[in-house]
Amino acid sequence: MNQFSLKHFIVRSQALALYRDIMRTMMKIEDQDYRKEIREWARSEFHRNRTLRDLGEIRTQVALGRRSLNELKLAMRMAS
Amino acid sequence: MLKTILRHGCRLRSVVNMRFSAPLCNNIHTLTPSNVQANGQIWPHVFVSRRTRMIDQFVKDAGQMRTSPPLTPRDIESRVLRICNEYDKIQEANKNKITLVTHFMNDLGLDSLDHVEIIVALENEFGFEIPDADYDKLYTVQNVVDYLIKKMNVTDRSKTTVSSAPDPRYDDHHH
Repeated sequence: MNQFSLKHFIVRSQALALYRDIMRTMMKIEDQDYRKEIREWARSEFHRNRTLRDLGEIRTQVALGRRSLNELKLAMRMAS
Repeated sequence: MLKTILRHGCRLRSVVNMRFSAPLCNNIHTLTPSNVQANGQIWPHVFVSRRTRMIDQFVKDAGQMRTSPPLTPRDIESRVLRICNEYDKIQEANKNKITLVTHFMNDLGLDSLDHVEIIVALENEFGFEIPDADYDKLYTVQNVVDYLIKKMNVTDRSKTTVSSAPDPRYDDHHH
């Protein structure tokens, strides 16, 4: 019944971990408007890709998200 | 002698020593007609009243440094429910019906991403990070409350408060 393999499970955990890191980083932002913007960006990106089933595509998206998060963290560090 | 009395009173020894010695030295030589009593003794009562004001300020400052009151399980429960109610993706109809047995996904229709958002909001509220592996244990409000109680070592009886007994550390410093 469950078509998803262990690899899918692992990739799903990585995606959730990325979402978690984005949310934790977002909590550090003082500006409420910017915080909302980041939350909306993360939600729309993840929801847009939620129907992906191909492991390669999912991994690519997670990697892109990681890169975006690193850029965000860098921007926050430079702003403070 | 005066320093010892003040020390017992407000337990700010280093600050008292630093701050008071200068005015003490400066004012002990101040002799005005009002300081001289009938029998010729000098009592710098003006000087003492100024120090009382300074002590009040120090005591007030010390009061500000008190740590937050100890948590009770009821505090934790109310804070968790407040965070859940503040979450924007919960339908208005469900908002006031969140109880301890509410399941985030089954009862509130949230998905795994929303669940992550709520737990991260709780991390922010209580000030410590919840390890990724524990997220899977926290699908109902009851589980969250129990987990937080365990992690924060909250007991039903609050810890004893600081007593006003004299501090034995300062007892053998008599100047």
